[in-house]
Amino acid sequence: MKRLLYCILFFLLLSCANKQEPQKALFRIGQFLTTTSDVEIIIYRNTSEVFSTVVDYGKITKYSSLDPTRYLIKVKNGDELVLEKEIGIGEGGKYTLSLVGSPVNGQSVNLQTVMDKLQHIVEGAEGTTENGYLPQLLVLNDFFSVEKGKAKLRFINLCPGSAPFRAIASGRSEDKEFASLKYAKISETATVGEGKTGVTLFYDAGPLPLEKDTIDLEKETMVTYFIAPSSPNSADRFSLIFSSDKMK
Amino acid sequence: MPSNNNKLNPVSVWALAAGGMVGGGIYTVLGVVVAVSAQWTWLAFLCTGVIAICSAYSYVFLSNKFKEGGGAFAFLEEVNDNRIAGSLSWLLIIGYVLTISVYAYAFGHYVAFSFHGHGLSIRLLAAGITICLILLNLAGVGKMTKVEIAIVSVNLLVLLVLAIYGVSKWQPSQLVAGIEPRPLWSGLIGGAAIFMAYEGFQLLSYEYDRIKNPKKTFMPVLLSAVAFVVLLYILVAIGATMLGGAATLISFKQIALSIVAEKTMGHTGVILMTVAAGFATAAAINSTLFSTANLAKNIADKNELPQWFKHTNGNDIPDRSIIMLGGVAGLLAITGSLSSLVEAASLIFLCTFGVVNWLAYKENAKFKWVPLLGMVIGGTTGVALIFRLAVSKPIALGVLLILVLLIILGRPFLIAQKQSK
Repeated sequence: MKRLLYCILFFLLLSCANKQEPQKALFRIGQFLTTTSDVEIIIYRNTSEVFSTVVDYGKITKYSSLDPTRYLIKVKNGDELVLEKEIGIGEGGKYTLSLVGSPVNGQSVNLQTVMDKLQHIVEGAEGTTENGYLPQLLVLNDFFSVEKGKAKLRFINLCPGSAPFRAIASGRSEDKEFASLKYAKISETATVGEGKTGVTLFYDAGPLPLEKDTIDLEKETMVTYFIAPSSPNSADRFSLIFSSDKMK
Repeated sequence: MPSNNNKLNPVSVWALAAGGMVGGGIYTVLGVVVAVSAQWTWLAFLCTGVIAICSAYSYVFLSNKFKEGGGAFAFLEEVNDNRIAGSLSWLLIIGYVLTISVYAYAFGHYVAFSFHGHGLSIRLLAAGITICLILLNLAGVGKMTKVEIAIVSVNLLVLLVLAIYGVSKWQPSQLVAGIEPRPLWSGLIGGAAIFMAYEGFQLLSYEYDRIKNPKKTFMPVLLSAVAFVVLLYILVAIGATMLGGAATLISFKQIALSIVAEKTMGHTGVILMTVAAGFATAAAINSTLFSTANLAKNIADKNELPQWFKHTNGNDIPDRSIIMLGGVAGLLAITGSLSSLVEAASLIFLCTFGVVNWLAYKENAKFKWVPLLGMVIGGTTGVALIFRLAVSKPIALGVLLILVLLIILGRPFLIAQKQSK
């Protein structure tokens, strides 16, 4: 018992001795709100504006930094406030704030279906639904853990109303399939080999390829593929937009 | 009856009770509860902890009153409610099988993560540990009290150090890092989803005959063990979130504590956490399998389960029960999803604890308000869990309700048929 107490005391002293300034967090914004060409995102800390930008459809911004605390994020489509969410930004965290769905003219802020409300009540952060394809702010955690010499790959379907997709990543040594990619849901983050990798997109139940891409996967990186309509007003053509994160 | 030398002293009882709870609980449920309750995760553990403390009081009160081990089944038999006793015992066995599968699932994920294994290796590990422990039990070495106590001590130490280190890095934004803050009431729903994290203490009620001077020591020892675990869970929940951040615990919920250890201490941390989680989950599988198989045999002895379960091997081990229960649990571990298993088990234990609290209340426990409080919070938590399951996993809830109906309606019929033969 004494040893246990000494051990705990030692760790406490160690941690108190190493008090450092909290690390800043990184975030970026992916704009996939269909029927919009660009949207304005404003971030507030308490009541003061700390960040604002306008992002075109289909673009992902570069990472910006923020102090770790809670922020209020407002998303405006023209003069219309579409989303207003409070989000925590953690110390040293890395996030992609993805805007998805289709705004409706004259819609109220944070419009939710009953099922989406219920799912958020009972499942909290894991309660993401299609929400009737209404606008949503999905926070993707860009932290990952990977073994040496390997890479990570994940997909997210951001095409409102689409059938689920299936993607196949063909690397040098093996193929990896990501099945049942449903709207607004992120896939598992799978480990894949480094090097040139072909990515082919299908409908989950269909044999015909919808889109192809080739990527050179660097080791110890995570690549996220955003599957989105190729233009904000097109529902029948899709783009594979990717972003890459290096492990810290 | 064991001789006085072979009896469990208070320190052993304390360690086995705390270890039975922590063994698999916190390793598997943390990410699930953080997703639901975010900054109120500590409240979720506190609310459900109060149910556990009240239920522990009721378990000890009833064990002392009837001077008998055997848990809820034995208590109901004592008050001549054989019908409820039979149905509840069947339900309880399902609960234990689900619990074993959750522990095996956790074992597979934690151990596989240490060598970046995935997919097949996780399933093989989950199945492998279940098979190993089935064989160990069949060989007659299933109850290894001293080994279990050693494992518990290391496990508690690792968790305590992680928790205190994490709390010392206090940064409130970590509690909601990467997610939306949640309202206060979310603590109730979060707690409901993970109640099974507290079930382990009641395995001690099956060991009542082996406890030294139980009338005097069982109550303070069990209550202090449960209270300690409640505090430990709260500290680990806060500490791990400070180190890992809420979104990361959710993204990696199957291996939440290993990710926290990796973020804090790199690969050394992963190794340490893998050792702690691996041994803790294995010990929890072992003790739950051992107790459940013996419970099944006792129930079969009283004709509330088919006689098939009574069969023992040369080591006087209920071999068929061990193989069947362990086999089903292993199968569930490799095919089920974490939150469905955890929630189904939680609902069963909420029902069981509710019955035990009701019995203690009816049997005039000295502090009647304790089981009453357990029933009130437990009932509210149970309603919250049914609501959660109805919204998010209606099929799982439906299957569970059908099982309950089958047990209530089919069990008396099955038993009557067996007896008429």
